[in-house]
Amino acid sequence: MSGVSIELHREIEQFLVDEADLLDTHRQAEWLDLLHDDFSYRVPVPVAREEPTQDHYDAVLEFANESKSFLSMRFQRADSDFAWAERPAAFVRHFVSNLRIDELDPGRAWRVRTNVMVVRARLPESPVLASAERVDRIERHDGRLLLRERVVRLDTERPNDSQLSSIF
Amino acid sequence: MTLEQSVNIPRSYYRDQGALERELATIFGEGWIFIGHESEIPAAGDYVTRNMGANPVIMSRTEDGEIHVMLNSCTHRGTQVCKLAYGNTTAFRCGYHGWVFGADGDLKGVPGRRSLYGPEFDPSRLGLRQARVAVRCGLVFATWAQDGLSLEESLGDMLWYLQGLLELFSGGLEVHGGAHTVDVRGNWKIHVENFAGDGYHLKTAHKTMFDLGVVGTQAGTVEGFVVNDPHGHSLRAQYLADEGVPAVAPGYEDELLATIDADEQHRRFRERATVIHGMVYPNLLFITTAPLYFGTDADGAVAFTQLRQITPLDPHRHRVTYWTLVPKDASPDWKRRSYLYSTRQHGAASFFEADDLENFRRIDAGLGDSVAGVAPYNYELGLDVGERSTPPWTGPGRIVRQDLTEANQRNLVKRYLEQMEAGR
Ligand code: FES
Ligand SMILES: [Fe+2]
Repeated sequence: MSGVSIELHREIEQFLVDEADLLDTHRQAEWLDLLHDDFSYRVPVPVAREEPTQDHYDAVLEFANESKSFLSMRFQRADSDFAWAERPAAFVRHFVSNLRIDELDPGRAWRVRTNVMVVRARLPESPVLASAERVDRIERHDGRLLLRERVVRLDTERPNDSQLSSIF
Repeated sequence: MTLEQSVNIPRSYYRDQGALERELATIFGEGWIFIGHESEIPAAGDYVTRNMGANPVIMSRTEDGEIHVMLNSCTHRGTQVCKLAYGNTTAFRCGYHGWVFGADGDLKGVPGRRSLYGPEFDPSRLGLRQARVAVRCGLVFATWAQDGLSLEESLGDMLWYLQGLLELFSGGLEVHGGAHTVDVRGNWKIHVENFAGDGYHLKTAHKTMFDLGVVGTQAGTVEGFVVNDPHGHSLRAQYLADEGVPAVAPGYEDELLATIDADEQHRRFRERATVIHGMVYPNLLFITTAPLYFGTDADGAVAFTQLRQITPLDPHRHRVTYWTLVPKDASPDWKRRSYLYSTRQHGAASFFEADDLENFRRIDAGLGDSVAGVAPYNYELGLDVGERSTPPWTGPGRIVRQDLTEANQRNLVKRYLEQMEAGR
């Protein structure tokens, strides 16, 4: 256990399970509702290092850096018949595990790490798997949990474009 | 009267391994290939690893400041001597038998050299295979051809335009952060043709971007032109037609605009430009754009400049290396925002890019075979239509006074076929 109560652990776990369900079932508006207005989503570029203990992620380079307003545009776009890369919609499945919680601000903010595997399938490509660690900041506002920040630490130095097109 | 013929490129060039082998031997084997930007390796011992056609190469800087591009393959048994994407080192040590090569590629050490090798053994013949290197506008190019055209000759009329793109500000440009790579679906030439001057796809492929209002200035009243040169290079430039818009390169800080150091024609080439993109034959792509608007972010809209290098992996897949260039003298905050917009609009995970990548993979999926998939692609756009307005600048190359035309793609295919057929 990570020093938080079993109740809180369960609550955060359920929050993440529900959140993944919204992404997998393309209920984007409901998903956006789980985001804090200042939400930031970043996918830093992984780099191989000689020293295994050095950080594996670039401090400047990013595959993605998105805000809540930017993500809502992305979803607004997905509603259009002309969003070639979204129609037909891909099959998406999130597997979320290895939950680790560190309390940052008692009762208000937590650093939440999970391991995720995301499967995405959409012809003409074969299904692709992407594995990553997510480092989230989850906060409680007016009793509700909200996602404040998500950093996706991909497990490959050179992803393909299909792996990059999912939201982790 | 038809002034220009269309071109015919067999579809097999987009799916055959044999065609790819010939491309690697001639186009990638003999031409000048873009490797990186000199700002990526500012100090002695700095290096990056890249692809040059099918060859893994190291681009390094030696003590005396020289840039080397050499095959990343030990001269003993061929093991890659460098495994990292970038770094700084005094030597590359092969992990198999321990031969050591300097940053200049020379063989510096051989374990057991005195006792295990005879008097005829000559390490000076066993340095890493060196490519010929030349640098223009900060861009490092290399070729395996030890003689033949100089880089300058090979860039031809495109050099003038590269100067306009990369040497507008007196301090020049530098790479922000470094490079990263993504592997994508589709023959490498599809991506190159798209950048060469495909203004035609914007309103369909990127329709949602216009609908969302995020293409900013490009949605206004604009006039575009394309330029090409017999070496196969291409460029497309689009300008705000509104005379009321200030005559500056849009999207830069005033302090930076004050450092512009260019002649009148180069300035006019950049003033009021909404987007300039193109390619240096065969596989360097570039794009610079005026501000775009993404959502309600208060982060402001700034210009960005991106480079890409396209490397074939097999007939159906290619590797894209991305760089974002920023003016050296821009403020740190401007650089950060420019990188952010480059990622959001033209990064591999961006939705603008998603539309293009989706089309590339659908072209690949629709290739067909040697029985049914034989109808060549069509390149007639803009033929016999007549030219339109006059560009704001005068410069070298064949300037076509039309935006929606496949003149650049025709020129590119012509050059490509010349090279491919010459080798037969
Ligand atoms: S293969 Fe490099 S030392 Fe033998
Ligand atoms: Fe495009």
